Amino acid sequence: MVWLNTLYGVLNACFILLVGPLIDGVERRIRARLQNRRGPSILQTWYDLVKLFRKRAARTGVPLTLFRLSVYTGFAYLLIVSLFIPSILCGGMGFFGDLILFIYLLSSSKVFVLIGGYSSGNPYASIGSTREVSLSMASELVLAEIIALIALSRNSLLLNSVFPVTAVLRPSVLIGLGILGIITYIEHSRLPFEIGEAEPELAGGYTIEYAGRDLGFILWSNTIRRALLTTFLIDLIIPLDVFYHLVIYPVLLFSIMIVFTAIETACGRLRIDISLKHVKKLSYVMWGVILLALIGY
Amino acid sequence: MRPRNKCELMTNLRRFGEPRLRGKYLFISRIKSGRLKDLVDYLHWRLGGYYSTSIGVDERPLDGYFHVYHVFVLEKYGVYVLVDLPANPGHPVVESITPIVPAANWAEREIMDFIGIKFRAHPEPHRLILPDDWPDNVYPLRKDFPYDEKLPTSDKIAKLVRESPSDTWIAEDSEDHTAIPVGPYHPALHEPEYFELFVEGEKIVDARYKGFMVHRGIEKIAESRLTYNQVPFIAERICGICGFTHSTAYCQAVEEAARIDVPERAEYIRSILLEIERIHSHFLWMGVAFHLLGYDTGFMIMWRLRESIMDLAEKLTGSRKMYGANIVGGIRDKWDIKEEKVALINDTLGKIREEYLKYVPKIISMEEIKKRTRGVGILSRSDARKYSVLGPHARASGINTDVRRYRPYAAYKYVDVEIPVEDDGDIYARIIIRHEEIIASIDLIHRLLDNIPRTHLHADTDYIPERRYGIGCTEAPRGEDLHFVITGKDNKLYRWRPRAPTYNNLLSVPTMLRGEHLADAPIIIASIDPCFSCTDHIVVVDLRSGRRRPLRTGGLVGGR
Repeated sequence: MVWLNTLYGVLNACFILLVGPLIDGVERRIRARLQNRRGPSILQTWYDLVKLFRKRAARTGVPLTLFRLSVYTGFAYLLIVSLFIPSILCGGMGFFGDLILFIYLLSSSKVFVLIGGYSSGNPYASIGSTREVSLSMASELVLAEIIALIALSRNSLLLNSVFPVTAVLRPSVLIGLGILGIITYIEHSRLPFEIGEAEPELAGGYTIEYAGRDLGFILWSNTIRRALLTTFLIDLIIPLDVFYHLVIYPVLLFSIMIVFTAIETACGRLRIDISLKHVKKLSYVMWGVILLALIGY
Repeated sequence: MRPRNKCELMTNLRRFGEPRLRGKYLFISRIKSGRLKDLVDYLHWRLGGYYSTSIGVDERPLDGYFHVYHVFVLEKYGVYVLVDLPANPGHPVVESITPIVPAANWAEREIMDFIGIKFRAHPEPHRLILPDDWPDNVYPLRKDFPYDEKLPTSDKIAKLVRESPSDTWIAEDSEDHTAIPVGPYHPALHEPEYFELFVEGEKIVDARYKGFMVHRGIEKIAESRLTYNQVPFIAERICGICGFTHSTAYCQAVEEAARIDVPERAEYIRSILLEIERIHSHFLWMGVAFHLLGYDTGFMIMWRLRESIMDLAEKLTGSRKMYGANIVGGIRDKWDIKEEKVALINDTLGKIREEYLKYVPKIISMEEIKKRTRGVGILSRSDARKYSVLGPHARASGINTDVRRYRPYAAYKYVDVEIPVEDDGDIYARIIIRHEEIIASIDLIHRLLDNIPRTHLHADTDYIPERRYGIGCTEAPRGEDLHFVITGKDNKLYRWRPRAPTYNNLLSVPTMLRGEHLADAPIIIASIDPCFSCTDHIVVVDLRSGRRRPLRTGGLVGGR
């Protein structure tokens, strides 16, 4: 059984690695259509990545070890997450406590990229990473609260046994899922919450000093993170079943991303102080929901 | 007590010097010693007028002196006051007016750079436009400096920021602040210029500006080798967005100087093209503003609309942006707006208006846009007066000013122009002003087209007398565009000075940036609709060879 689960995990990881940039390509096309443009091919993000991987990373005189190491560490963390989150196949390398590891790896992968950007010493990068860190600190607190709620409702910290959380239909779970949807959106760093890169303000923010292969891995990591967060949301909703995962899951994955893109197209960029206020409100609501779950609703 | 009419004004001004009224121009010369500051204070702060610009002229071949003309606009009396300060060629020093009118800061320093007149008691007597490696005591706009002079190369290294118009200074290497460079190349800036922002966390504590990186001295070229009817081409190329307003202002200045009556039909066509240009410019600006707010869908919508207005311009003038219609005395024959084109304009504008109203009112009432722009980048009315800001930027700060209404030129004499004014002085007010101006401009073009008369297209301009002064003003999309000319011999100008509105508006930017969030810096800078090329006066450079093509007399089309 162990080798089967390992195989499942590897296949799931491959799926996520491949589909992340593909989803991004689809989004770019849809965004273009919503803006009355023709838009690029849906494979464009993959073309971009392939091109970046072929290029050498330009040396900009920044301390290389931390600067580069953080990118690959962050990528590796995401890779590990994709091994134990069931995506296209309903299985993976599950183990006790992986629910906590999930949130830990997801947030530290982000932190690593931000540290890398910060280490470059570029003022735009420092401002971009500071913004991103403050926002993800706030939103990951909410994510932790949601995990607590899930663990409470399903009495387990094992991913494979909390899925799907919809098996217990309580008001607290439904509200929690709604908030998870919002948090997923924020963690995707989409407009109006895309404030760390903020091209017109910070010229790329924390990614400003990266180039070539390093930049490629950052962009790839971002698409993978988005796919993983959305996968987690879907796993909580649909039953852990071969059919559902093979057929319904990809449909849901693409439709959620498309809905998010449509929302993004209608938005401008928020300022960091305003976005933090929004996320803090969510956090207060979540405490209420946990209380609700504790008293049995 | 403000004087009630021109006569009383003249009497009052006798206290300060010798006023002479020549048509619209009120020269005040022989200022009594020690009275200059009182005079300037009276004109700018008490009379309800405003400081517009200063011009330095090397008039040694004419009367043996350098001259500084400070131009004040008194809309109420319908005159331009030119405070004439002669400077002795042996020791060219005059008193500075910047301590009274901070708006004069750059204009006086420009004169220091180009003519070599020193200003006594100027708060920041540093170079503004000339690069650091330019030799001392060489002044390019003096008449004894040949336009094709080759200067020895220098190995001095230029520093980007030397000074700022800021009132509060902070140490450059302070540990509490981080210096954020914005420019010379930055995604938020579409032309080379440099802002240095000092931030504490995300808060801007001070801002400095350095511009004039692409100054090419087209005034010298125009004065040295272009004829009257060649200058409109180069004037139009001062700006890639509002070029026609520059060539119109130039032509009006020469027409004023030579007292040429422009036929009515030409005036109508000028106005129509100017309004088309205004709509184009405001569309472009709105797009950029939405982009800077992170709202790219709005950007795409605005720039798509802009395409249709450029297509319209192409059908009218043969060119999407550089209309090339102006000559001194009117409009070229082929640029006539014939019957079938009237229908075309009405049709196209109708469609544009419909589509514009479908999207933009919704966009500007969006909560995110309001949250980012309300109460941000505020310029108070008094600061706006201090820096003599112009156009939509001034109107958003509660100053009711518009050349089209208060000093009507071209066909604005025959129609009413709606002038929206807002009191908030924030970015949102600037958006609303431009939004209303777009609709007003579309309606205005319809009205102009209804009344377009049948006359000639250009007046006879065979003879332009020497040493006449003329000021041509237009309301450019960004505010008052002022061209000053002195006519000369041999079908050439003696002096030409274009002053684009951004020249005045830019001075107010550091004031607006202070105390704001770093995230708001791009939109604050953009909210004045800055046109750095206008301020710098760009001309053509051959990019492929990298060489500056010398402009040859007769190299440009000069006919009708």
